[in-house]
Amino acid sequence: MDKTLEKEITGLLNTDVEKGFRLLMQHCGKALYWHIRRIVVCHDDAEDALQETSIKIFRSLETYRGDGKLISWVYRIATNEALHVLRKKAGLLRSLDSLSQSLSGSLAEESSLDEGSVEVVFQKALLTLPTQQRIVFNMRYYDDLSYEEIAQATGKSVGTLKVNYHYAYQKVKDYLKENL
Amino acid sequence: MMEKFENIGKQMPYNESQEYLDNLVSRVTEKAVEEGRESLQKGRKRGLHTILWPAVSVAAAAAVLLFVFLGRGAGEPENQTHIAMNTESPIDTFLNGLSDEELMQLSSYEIEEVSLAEEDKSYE
Repeated sequence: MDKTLEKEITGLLNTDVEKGFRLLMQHCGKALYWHIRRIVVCHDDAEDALQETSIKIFRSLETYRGDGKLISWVYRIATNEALHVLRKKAGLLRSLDSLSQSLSGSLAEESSLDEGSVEVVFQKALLTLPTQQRIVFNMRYYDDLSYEEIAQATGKSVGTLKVNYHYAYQKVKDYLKENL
Repeated sequence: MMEKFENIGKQMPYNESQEYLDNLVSRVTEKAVEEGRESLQKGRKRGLHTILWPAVSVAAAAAVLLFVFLGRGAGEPENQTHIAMNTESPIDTFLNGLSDEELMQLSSYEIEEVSLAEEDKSYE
């Protein structure tokens, strides 16, 4: 989201929250859907999480102070909702990282491409990453967010995020070498 | 670093069309606005209740305290006697003036009168 658009939305939020929200969703809605989908993999789960995300954004916009970047704030809500979906799937006893097998299964079910296609193998590679690394990689690679924006969205330091991304990159590269 | 992945691209292996996603986003947006409005209205009502109930409680407590304090001020012994004297009927005054024996006679007379009256009635 460019600065002009962010200013326009933030300005609207002070005068007409509903209008500001609609403009925000018009520009970020699809990106948020894909961000959530990359985390939860299953479309139905992504749709539910997107719905919850948008409700929470709309309800919280009146109290949004604008002390951080709007895009980071929105991604933070979306990430939390996506992780909430994964936690429900994992249950009390399993960690989020233990879901990679079942998420790979969902990927195979919902993919429109062959299992050996580059896109599918790349997604499988991403699913081997620990959840935290996967989220950081997605936000940097797919959404082109800066480390500062990701730091605001995740609450992690820029240094930690750089390390996360570096490890994620190495693992994905190794996986692709073996499987492509 | 990222340039090396560019051959793979950012294409996702799913078949949701742009049109489908546009519809999905607008549907989700409308539902969020609708639910947001409802929760806002509920929140306002709740806010009104939150203000009203303590106000009503405080007013009720103040009324009770006022009643107690004013009641104490008005309840002086002279006034109470005055009220008691006023409510005493002439029959009570008469009965209070009778001795115990006179009272016994009066009560036995009443019982006899009642039983006679009943017997009279049964013969009719």
